[in-house]
Amino acid sequence: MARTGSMLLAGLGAWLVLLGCGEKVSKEQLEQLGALAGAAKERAVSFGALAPSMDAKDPAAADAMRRYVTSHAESLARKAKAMADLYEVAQGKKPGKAALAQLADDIATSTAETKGWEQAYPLLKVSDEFALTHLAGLKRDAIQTEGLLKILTEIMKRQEDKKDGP
Amino acid sequence: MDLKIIGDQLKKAAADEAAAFIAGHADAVMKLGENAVKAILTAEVHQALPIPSLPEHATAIQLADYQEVLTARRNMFQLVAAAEKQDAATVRSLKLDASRAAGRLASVALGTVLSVGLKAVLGI
Repeated sequence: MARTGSMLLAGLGAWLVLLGCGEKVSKEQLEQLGALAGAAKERAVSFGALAPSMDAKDPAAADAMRRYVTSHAESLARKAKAMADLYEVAQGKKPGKAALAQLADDIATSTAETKGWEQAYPLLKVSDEFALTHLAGLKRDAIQTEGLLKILTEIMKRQEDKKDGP
Repeated sequence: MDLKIIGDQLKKAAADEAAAFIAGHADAVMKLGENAVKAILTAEVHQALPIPSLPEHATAIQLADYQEVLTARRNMFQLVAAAEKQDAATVRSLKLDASRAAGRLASVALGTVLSVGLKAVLGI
């Protein structure tokens, strides 16, 4: 956990320096970000569409599970907006530290949400197909986001090395 | 940084922001929002609002509380980002969302600065 935290902070630091130096992300990274933003939006929309019908299997848990579903839908919408904002940042329109902080934190939050969904979906009236697709999507998002941060960290390191070089 | 200092910063920024929000001065809200943003960034949301642990066989209530903390984290980051972008509409919308969540956060054993700070930010 501590290692993940350090990695996140290192990744975040790289992002901040990267944008602070006015360096632009490559076309490939921009495409990756665009894909992540698109996937986040799609997940938020598809979950949001089904959310009203996701009732608890156990009527006694109805209120709590409604709270869970509503909050999860809201979180997915926030994530989609954060990714869209970050995509905008990466295009050089509006650099902002906060958007980058969100990206770094998103890895941990997505991983945690995955754990929550793993336990929640068996308690909900939802098809296995949707539940498992959603689960896979949450996992994939976290991995891809982490991968993107690593790439940018590496780019930053190379730029720093170049600066410090002879 | 000392947690008490972080808490004090959050409370100060929060009180100012809440007062301006009630007065309905959008510019002042944004300005004071920036201060709150600084406090939140200083506190680092990662530390201030940590992800709680989820029991292996969580109850429906535990799952809902857990998810609401995660959502509150994303709201906090979004709030910071919106304030940084001077996006007043998003800030206002998030404050409302967050205020609803904050009431429920009280039942979650966070034991952190932000569980107090968040309420203070929202003036409730």
